Amino acid sequence: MSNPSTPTSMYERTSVRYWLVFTAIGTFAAALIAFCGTNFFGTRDLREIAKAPNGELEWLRREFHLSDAQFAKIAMLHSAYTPVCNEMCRRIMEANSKLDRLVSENHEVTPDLAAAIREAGLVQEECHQQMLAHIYQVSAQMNPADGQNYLRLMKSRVIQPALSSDTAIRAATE
Amino acid sequence: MGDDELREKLALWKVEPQIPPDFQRNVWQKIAVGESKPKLSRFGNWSISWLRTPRLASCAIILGGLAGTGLGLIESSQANSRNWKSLEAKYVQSIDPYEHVRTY
Repeated sequence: MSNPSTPTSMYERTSVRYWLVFTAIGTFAAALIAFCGTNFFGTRDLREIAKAPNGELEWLRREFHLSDAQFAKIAMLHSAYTPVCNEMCRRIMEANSKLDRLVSENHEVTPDLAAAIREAGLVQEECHQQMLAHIYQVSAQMNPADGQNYLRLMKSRVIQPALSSDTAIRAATE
Repeated sequence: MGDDELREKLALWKVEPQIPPDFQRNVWQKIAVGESKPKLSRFGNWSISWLRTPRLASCAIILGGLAGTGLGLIESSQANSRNWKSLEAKYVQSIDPYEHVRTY
């Protein structure tokens, strides 16, 4: 006499195994699809911004809640500042390359080397002034609270008290 | 009473069990009643046949989907945070000539 609810036949055991395998594969597949789908759709927006040519401005718009008018003005300021920034970059590299060469060639502070140090310092000073002027212009376009946040962020990221010119020398000579 | 006496008495003792005539029927009835009651699924008392029901598969798949969604949300949030920071760095780089030089 056997309990009819207990699977004893080969068919029933195969059926149980089939369901267990199906459940395991189905669970894994569902988890994988849900994970990939959520991740894909959840990051799509920012991925597209990151890929866009002016993604950094889009970041600025969202981070500091810019209106369309504010954004248009800031984009214009940014476009006007870009060639200035590139020119300063070129001058920094030039001044630091010269300084690097003279430091390597001399064994004492010659008038040429002193002039190169002065020139590198002047370039750095001018860069800071230009950059700070641009930062102030941009923050002036924002709402007061956002403008303050922007200044605070830029101060921590850009206006560093001990800016290492060595980094620029290395980059210029590499 | 000595041991021998006790042994004799025990040897004479006969047990004649009297099983009621409907004993077997009663036992089967009780089994049938027990089986007809809904069983509380307790750990270790599962019938193996339960494992092949589609209900188990459905529950597991739904739970898998929920777990995947949860992990996907956590991962996408971390990826968004990384992307946001990289956009911030890109902006700083676009206005800072020293950052330009660093990335040359």
